[in-house]
Amino acid sequence: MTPLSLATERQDATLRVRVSGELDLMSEAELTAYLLRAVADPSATSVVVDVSGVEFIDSCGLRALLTGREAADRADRELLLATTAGPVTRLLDIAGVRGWFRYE
Amino acid sequence: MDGLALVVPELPGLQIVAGYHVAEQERVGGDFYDVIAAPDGCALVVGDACGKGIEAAALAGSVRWALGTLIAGDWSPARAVARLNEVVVGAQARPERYCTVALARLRRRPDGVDLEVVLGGHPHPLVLRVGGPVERVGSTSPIVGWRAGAGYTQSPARLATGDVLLMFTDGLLEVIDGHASSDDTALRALLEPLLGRTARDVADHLNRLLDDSTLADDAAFLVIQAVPGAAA
Repeated sequence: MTPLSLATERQDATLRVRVSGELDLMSEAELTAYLLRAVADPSATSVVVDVSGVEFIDSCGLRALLTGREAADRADRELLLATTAGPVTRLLDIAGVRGWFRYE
Repeated sequence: MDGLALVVPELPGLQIVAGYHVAEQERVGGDFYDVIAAPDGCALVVGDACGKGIEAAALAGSVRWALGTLIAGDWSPARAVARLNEVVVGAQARPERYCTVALARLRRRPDGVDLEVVLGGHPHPLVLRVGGPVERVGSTSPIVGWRAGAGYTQSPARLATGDVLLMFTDGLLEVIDGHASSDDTALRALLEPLLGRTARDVADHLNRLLDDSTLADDAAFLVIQAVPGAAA
């Protein structure tokens, strides 16, 4: 088990959130809160969620990403995913929601 | 487990076996399955409500019963799941819960069965052809209950007499492939030696595997086989 790890970098008006480790029931609440804070940041116009370091994701982890996406819409911010082929893209495909996200 | 106890109907020309395993730390689960008899065959349901414990179990039960009411007359799996999606979306002020579901309409034919399969964000069911290979069936549509107006499409498949259909939740993938879930490669390899066997054999094999594992997630499955017998 690799615990969830979260880090943020700022590049001008973009927040880059690096997510690594396991995204599941145990870590869903932490990621959701983190993403909600990021999209509410008044100095950022877009948030890039880099999930290329995610080693495992289940339906709860997906819910955290979807919730961040919804919150960004409501706050009129852009939320982009940065992915490489792996657990996250596989789950997005099975869940039929790859097209619900925009990508860096 | 009481609320989940389910009698699988006896249907002529079909052998149907269900398996249900709840994660180690939970007393109720978010996975669900159902078999609903229809005049010319049945509806087959396997699904997974996101989350764990009571929250997930409540959604799973509601979804199962709601789907049951949509299985009537000349029903279509894609229309049923599209309607279910609107119901679950409409019950929430903003999206907080969703589920995945595989729904198949099965109709008996003299030499097997016809299937129409819709996948609402759910892993592909697998068909074990008597002489191989192991094939995926169904076409992918979005998860259920998150976004209004999501489109659902179904795709056809046939089971010849002896072919076995396996519908399952991702808990089964996790058990077989450690943490590399949502990838069915290992499951398909595990099923290869079971080609040509009965639905009961396949279910027994999976049940033994699940009984011997510490489950981090719930796992549910249905195994269906067209067997010689009364046809429609």
